[in-house]
Amino acid sequence: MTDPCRAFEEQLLDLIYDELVEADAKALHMHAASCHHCRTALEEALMVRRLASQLPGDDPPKSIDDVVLSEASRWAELQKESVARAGADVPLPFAPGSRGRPQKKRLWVPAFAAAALAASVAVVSIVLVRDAEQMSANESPAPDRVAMESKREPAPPDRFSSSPASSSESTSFSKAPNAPAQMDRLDEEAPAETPEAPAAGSRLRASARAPAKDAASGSRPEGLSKKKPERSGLTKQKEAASSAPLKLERKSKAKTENHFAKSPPASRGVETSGAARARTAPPRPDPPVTFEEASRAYDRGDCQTAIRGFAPWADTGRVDPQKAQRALLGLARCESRRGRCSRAVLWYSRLLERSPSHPSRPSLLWEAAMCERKLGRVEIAKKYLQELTVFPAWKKRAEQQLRQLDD
Amino acid sequence: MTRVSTTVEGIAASSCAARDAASPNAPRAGSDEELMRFFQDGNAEAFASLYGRYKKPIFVFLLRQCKSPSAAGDLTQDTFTRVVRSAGGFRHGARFSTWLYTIARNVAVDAARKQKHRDHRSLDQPVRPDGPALAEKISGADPQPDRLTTSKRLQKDLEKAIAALPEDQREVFLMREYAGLPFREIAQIVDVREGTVKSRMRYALESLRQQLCDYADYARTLS
Repeated sequence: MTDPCRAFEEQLLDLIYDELVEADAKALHMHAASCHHCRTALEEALMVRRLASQLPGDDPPKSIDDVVLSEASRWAELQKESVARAGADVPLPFAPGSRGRPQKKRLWVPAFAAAALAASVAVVSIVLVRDAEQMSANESPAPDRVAMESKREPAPPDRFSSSPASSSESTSFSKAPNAPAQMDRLDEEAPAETPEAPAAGSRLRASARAPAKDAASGSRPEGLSKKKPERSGLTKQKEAASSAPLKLERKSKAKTENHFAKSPPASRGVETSGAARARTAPPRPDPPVTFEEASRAYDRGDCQTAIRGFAPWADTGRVDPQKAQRALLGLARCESRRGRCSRAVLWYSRLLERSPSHPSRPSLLWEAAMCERKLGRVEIAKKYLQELTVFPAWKKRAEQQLRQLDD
Repeated sequence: MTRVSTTVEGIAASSCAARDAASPNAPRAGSDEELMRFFQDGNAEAFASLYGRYKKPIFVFLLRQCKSPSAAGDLTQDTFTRVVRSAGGFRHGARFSTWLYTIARNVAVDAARKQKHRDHRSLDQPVRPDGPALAEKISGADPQPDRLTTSKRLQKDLEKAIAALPEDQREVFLMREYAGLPFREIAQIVDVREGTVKSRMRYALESLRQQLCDYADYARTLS
């Protein structure tokens, strides 16, 4: 390629889009006239442009005009008002010839005021919470708290966290600071035992999150303020949970199911002081999700809500088989979507087992096989794929995948 | 919008025409940036004029990005609503078109990201492994393609070819070809070097040329 050709190629786009000065464009055209290669390149580029110009220019829907223009009118009115409020002695914002961005400057004042207000509210609330804690510490415990305490044996300070199944409240509250660590572990291990685990895990996560919020917001529940779990207890609990995930899962499931129904011990403790209870109210639990809401959440891709809504329906096969099927499918695909293959395969396997004539069985087999493959369980993946070869539409793909797995 | 290439018919030209058809109360003289300044002073008509200029190019840009007219309408509305709400932050040293397309691109990227999360199958819909791709369905599902004129077939194939471009090439192609933005401005919008923009454009044109090579004769009749 000669230098003029190289220059031509570099400037071809500028040439066909009229971004060159006339002299340069003329020079390139002259070169193209004498160079077959460059002329062809120019003609091809212009051909694409000519063809591209044939695309019709679709009109936007008229309905958006009103929305946009009314929004603009509102904004303009506000702008005018702010100018009027500023007074005649204040230079008009963006008046012709003026520079700067007065609107931004004005935003400083309310923003700063809001920040100052928020800081002062935070300080006051911390003081009030401390007062409440002191008050309740001086008062006698509430009757139900006494009952709860009497049921338990006197225990070392790390009692709450030493046993994962001692009580739902202790499980959820005592581990609040370390909850995320345990959640991760449950995500990985618990589902390997039983399909209930995902639901239990998510519920445990929800329960573990609640006190964590309390701790973060400074309104620490009294149960925690009095008996802080020691680190050794938490470690023990983690070890116990990891050695017996099934046990933990069963118990935590049973307890976390009641977690939202009962008021947690912290709130009961706070009952001794009405004012303090009002100030240190526990975080509101997530509202329950109906099946229909879960279906809608699934459709819009909100897997977290869908899982929450589908989970209670997964075991209702005898009551409503159709809903149970849909719930299992939704759970499987949502978990798969979130990359939690270890959970997804459990839902898939349960669905495949329960519904041998499911209309989507081939795709379920395929999806389950892909999840198993991701988990490295090649043999199980192969089993699914072998079953898939029975379906003519899937045979080729399944066999291809089987070959890849063999390799 | 003097930067719209006069050699390209259709959208870009119509956007220029829209400027002329702007409201009589709007400040006629001046650039986009001047209109924006009037709007910042509280003149809603100035914005109406800007909206008239750009609503169609922006709609087409978003339509080719998201491939759904209804979604493109929503995104267009979203884009201009964002323009209104952040009008106070527009700097007069900047070009309005650059700023506008940056917002539109961000809107499109956000929508694509959300769509990616939503894009999963219905609970009742089995997967067909050997079914045709969506793009193939668009063009190939027509029962009697021979009845279509070359022009209509071209439009369909062109839409398909543009949709098949990689996202980074497609946005550059749309901004240069249909919005008439110069390469330097596109480089600012997509936040890459001008050379990168041109490289993407070259790839895009080459890809389109290969896919539309059947229309070479037809293209000659257009010149």
